[in-house]
Amino acid sequence: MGRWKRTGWWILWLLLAFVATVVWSVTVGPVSIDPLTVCKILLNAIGIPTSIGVHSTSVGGTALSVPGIDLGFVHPFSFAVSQSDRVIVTRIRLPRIALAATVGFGLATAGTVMQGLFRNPMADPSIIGVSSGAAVGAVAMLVLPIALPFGVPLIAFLGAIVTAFGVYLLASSDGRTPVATLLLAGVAVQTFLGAVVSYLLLHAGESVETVLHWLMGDLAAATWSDVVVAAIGSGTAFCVLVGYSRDLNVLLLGEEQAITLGIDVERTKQVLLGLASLATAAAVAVAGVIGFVGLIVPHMLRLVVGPDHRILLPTSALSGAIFLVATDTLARSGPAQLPVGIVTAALGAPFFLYLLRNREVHQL
Amino acid sequence: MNDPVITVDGVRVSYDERTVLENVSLTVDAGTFVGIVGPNGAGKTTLLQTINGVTAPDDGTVTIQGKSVQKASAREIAQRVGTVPQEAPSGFSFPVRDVVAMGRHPHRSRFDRSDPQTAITRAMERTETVALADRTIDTLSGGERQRVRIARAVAQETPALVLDEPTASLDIAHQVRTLELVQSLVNEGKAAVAAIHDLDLAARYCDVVAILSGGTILDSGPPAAVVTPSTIETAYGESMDVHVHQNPVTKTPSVTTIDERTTDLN
Repeated sequence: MGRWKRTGWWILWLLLAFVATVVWSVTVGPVSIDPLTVCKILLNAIGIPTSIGVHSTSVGGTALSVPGIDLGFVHPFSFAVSQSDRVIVTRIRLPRIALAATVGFGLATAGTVMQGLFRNPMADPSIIGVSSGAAVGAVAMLVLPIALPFGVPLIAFLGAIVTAFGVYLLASSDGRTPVATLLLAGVAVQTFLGAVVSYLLLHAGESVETVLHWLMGDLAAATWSDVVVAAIGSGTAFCVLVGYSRDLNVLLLGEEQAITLGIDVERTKQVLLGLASLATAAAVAVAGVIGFVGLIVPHMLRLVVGPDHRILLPTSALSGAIFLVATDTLARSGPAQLPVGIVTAALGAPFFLYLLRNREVHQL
Repeated sequence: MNDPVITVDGVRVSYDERTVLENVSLTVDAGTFVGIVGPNGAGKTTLLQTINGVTAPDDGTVTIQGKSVQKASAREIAQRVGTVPQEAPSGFSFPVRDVVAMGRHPHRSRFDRSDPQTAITRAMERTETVALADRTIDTLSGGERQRVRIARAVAQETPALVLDEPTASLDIAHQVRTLELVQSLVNEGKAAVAAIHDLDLAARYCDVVAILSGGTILDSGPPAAVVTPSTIETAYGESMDVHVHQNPVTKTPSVTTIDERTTDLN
């Protein structure tokens, strides 16, 4: 019972920290908005769905019509705020903050699971090549004269999933997939795909800046539909993975002991790899390659709350959201807007070195 | 008692070209402690792995209380066989209580959020690990860690118990304490099978000793019948001179090896 109480308190505190970070983040920008106004706008935006209806939309002038769902909302709060403040917050700042939060949440979830599964402190969400695969797809799309529906995110997502699946197949034989082989196959495939990306970059021409922004992770172009994509990916993965926290704990003992404690190791690996890769792919597809969130946030939390995934997974995920909202706020608050990947790495790497020097990071 | 819990029948295991076990058969009854002895590389660990489902035999069958291990899921096997693994470095820092609780894993559904305290506490009391409950596993001594591993297997509440070198890294006091604990679990009706290097300890604590050499069982039976100079010399190599006498205190066979060079010097 003690553990539940502890987990509950941690989640409560992190949620409060998250709300505080979001409010602070909304106040930051070219037009400064005071925290009280921000709170009013956020409360006004809360809608409780009360009615449901169905409508049809025809697609692309064809006879094909797609049913859609109309939700009726009741807004319990209606504080008086200026129209311009409201538009800045809900149209410009909030989508970006919400995207940072969902992407950070997903990457930290995936990183926690990958580190646990690989029992390797250097494992990150992209350890089996998800980001590299996404990068090849996205860069090819940006550089080559091709146009496809849904553009970069869809291609990046497909590149990520195909790569993860390919690495898994490369590392499997006789129905077994040793994690050491998986890790090395991942490294090799990442190196190869890195070469492809470099080659494409040589031919990038005018689009080189867009490509670089994507490769360093950029949330500047955030839209609410990006948020939905990232939220579906990380939300699905998180909900299922929480159900696997005890399996993750047992897997830390090693695969052989996990088998003798009743875990179907190969199947569990497939589920964990698949979901962590799904969350990562969804995040990378809409936000580009954002390093270090999925690597250091789980380590930080492991030092604070311990190795038990039942508490580590939710606290890591929430901290990932807080971390990325905070770093993205810094990224956009300077005179020149930086890709958030630069800030996470620039802040993350020194902090990681600090942990390495001061704490026992050799343990999971 | 004549109630077979573990039945290994005609098992063959090979890795690539190398045959590790060849036509091995073994029965472990409820309330019986079987010790598997034999030289390094004889296949002791592999034999145990065919029983707890880690290794699937190429040929032959293994059943636990009539349930085929090959056809059962990892979970079904783990509900029937508890395993005490070999000492291995623990790269994590779970509290002892959580490690013991992992023994309940095969009995709990994914969404079972209850805390099966009774089985855990019972297992910890049984293995005298209650005082260690809140310590983390990486802060324990080798002997304490071994008791925690046994506690975890006891918490599994299985009819069969598999132990791989349970005494290998322990001092003499902890060796005796560990094997006495296993013996008392067996007296309560469990069927236990352990790989043991120390012939004297095997002869002293096991009801049945099986000598494994080159992937086959040379002989098995009561210690006094099996631990003899001729079987030991066959198992461990002809170059050794072996003297077996009855230990005056325990009244069980005790083995002294005499190196050829030592005899030459005399």
